Amino acid sequence: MKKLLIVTGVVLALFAGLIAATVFLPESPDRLANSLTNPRPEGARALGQVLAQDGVAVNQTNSIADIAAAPADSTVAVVLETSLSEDEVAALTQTPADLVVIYSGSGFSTDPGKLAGGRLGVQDWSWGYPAPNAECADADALAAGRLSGDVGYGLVAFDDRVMTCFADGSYASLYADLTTSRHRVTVVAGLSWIRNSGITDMGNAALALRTLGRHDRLTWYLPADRSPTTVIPGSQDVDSFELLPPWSRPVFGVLLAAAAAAALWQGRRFGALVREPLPVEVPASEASAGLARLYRQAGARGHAAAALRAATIQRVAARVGVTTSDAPDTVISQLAQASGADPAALTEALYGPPPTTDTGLAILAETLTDLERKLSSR
Amino acid sequence: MAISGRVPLLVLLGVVPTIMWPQPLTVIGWVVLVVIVSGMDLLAAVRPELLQFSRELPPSVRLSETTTSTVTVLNPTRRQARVQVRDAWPPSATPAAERPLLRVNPGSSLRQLTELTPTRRGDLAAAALTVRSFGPLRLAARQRSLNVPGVLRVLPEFRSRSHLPSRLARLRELDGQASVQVRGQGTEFDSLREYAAGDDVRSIDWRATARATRTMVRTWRPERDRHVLMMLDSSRWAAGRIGGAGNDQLRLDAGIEACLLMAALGSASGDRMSLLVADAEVRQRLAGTAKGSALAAFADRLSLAEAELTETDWSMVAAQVNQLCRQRSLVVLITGLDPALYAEGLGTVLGQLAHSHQIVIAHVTDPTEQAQLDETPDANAAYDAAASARLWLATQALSNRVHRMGVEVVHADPDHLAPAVCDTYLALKATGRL
Repeated sequence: MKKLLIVTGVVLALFAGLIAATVFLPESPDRLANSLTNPRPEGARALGQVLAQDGVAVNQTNSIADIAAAPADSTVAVVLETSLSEDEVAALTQTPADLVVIYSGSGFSTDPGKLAGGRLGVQDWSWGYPAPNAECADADALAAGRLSGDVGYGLVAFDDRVMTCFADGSYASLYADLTTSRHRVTVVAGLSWIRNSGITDMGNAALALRTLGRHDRLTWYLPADRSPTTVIPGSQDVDSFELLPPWSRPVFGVLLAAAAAAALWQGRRFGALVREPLPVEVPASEASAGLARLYRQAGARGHAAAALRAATIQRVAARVGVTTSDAPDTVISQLAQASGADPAALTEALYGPPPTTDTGLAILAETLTDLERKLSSR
Repeated sequence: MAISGRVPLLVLLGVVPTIMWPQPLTVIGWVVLVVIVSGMDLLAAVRPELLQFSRELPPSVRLSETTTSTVTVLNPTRRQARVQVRDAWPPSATPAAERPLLRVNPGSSLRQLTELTPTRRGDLAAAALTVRSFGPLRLAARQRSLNVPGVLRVLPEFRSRSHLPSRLARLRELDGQASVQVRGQGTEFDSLREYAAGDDVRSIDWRATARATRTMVRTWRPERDRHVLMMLDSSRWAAGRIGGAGNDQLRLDAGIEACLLMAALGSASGDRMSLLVADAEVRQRLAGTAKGSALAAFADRLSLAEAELTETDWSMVAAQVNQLCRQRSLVVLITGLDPALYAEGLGTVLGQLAHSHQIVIAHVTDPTEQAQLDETPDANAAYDAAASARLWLATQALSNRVHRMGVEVVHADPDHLAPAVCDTYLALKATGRL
């Protein structure tokens, strides 16, 4: 009893501790993909920290105003994972700052060509090029050497003035660099080259630090997720108790306490369970069942038929006045007389060749049973 | 410690003050209040150790009959005790009891009955007696489990007693036959009486007629004071469960029924009955009971018989039989005639036993194996039927072999074993082979 109390107490304490830990530990602030402060594999905190160490002032934002405020000698980076609104596209194309477009390489986002003055398009990326070489004259691309090629779509240039690097066997590339009337635009396909999970692979880190660190200031624009389930920071859940009368919360507490008391009332046993030793028992037909299984596995139809026939003769012999040691002819004639069955059929059933199939054995067993029944009903 | 259903209700009452002052403090205050009141109620309860409990129990009950265990609570304290008592028994006793709140006044006592309907043979020991002693408000109780010993012996059911009257009538017939029967084996001289029309003239005692000047006849009766030993095999064979669904039982139970019916019949016919239950060792041994008490003694001993997963040590059994039976006796061996075990087991001693005693082997057959032969819908059933036919043939051959040694073999399914053994006994008695 004392031991039980101790165990219950320990379990309760552990539970309480777990709840306290969940309540008091600060919730991890950032679960956004591609965020520069997210330490998870899909985040980009590694990139953000190294950029900051290199003296780049990083400003992560999801507000269009910050893009518009970006000065000419700075970089605006945007992650193209979803569709952008018209306002966002306008702000990004109008900004005087250089633009780095991180195109996710999927078909669900805004076309990167929209941000590059229509001089770019997308093209299926060929399978089998997981690490393409730079193979172009761009200094940043050459410094990187090779890049992760895990994308669905690559980039294709519509124009000679676009520098493309990291091409697959056909037309698609991972890197495109061009200059519009307003600013320089660099488009890179793929996400793993900036994310914590893949930034250390191949030349990913070199390309990321060089393209994003061109200026002292970086504005990292994360388009706001517009899915309705996302909690917008600053707003709060509607508390369901606020819709009820003011006393509902304490009354709920009273109900909980009553439920706990009821659990105590019903949970206490009225004395211990009583043990009882049980007698041993075995299935009585185990020998017979085992023999039957052996017959079946070996397909021993001959033995089985012989056993059935011998048992039938022994059972009916006394009834018709013969013994098991009598000659087959005597047994057959006596049985035919007693049962009125055809002697030829009886010979077949009792002394015929053993059945060759399971069906034959079943039919023989049925014939013999019928014969016994006929003789016992007389 | 235990609490009653009043505590959650009392907590629920806290809804009223909470609605009036809707603050967390109200809830906490109410719960603390309930805890304090319950704690005081607990302290006010009479301690169960101060009460005196005793149990009344019949010494034995027949299986499937109902008996009552009575627990008496005596309150020697000066306060009223409010107690609930659980008289715990093993599940096979199927205890059925209401557990009302007993208000035991100072110095008085109350009884609580628990009905027991045992479903298993043997000694049933009462488990702990659990007592809840509530305080005056009946909110909280002190709970203790006390040890109040009690053992109930559950005797075998003896279902086959319905066969007893007809067998006793047969026995009386044998008795009645004796006056017309000429002297022969298996009969002994009973008395002289006057000749009545219809008596066999060959039984007239001429010397007595001459002395008495009336025609006298001698009467005979079946021999009495023979010795019958029932040997019940409690080895692995006895643990076999036979019979179909609903009416299944262990082979041991069928053997026990046979022993009991024979005990009743044998003591009625004036024979001395002995019992031996053995497997690898002797489990029960009862030598030559006095007349009339055989059935009770047998039932008492057989209630404790349990099957063991061992093989029977037949040389030890033979030694025991020779020790128990000094004169030529009827020895009924309730065991399996298993061809696979015969040569190593029973076969080694049966010849010697059959030489010095009249042996009857009672073999329990399985009714489901017989039923299998009636329906053969598919090949699997045919193989099953063939396997049981093969074993049946081997058993038949073995029993023929044993029969040639002068041993009687009784094959019967569990429900008919006891009367079949008794019929064999009566037949042997009538032919004077005891």
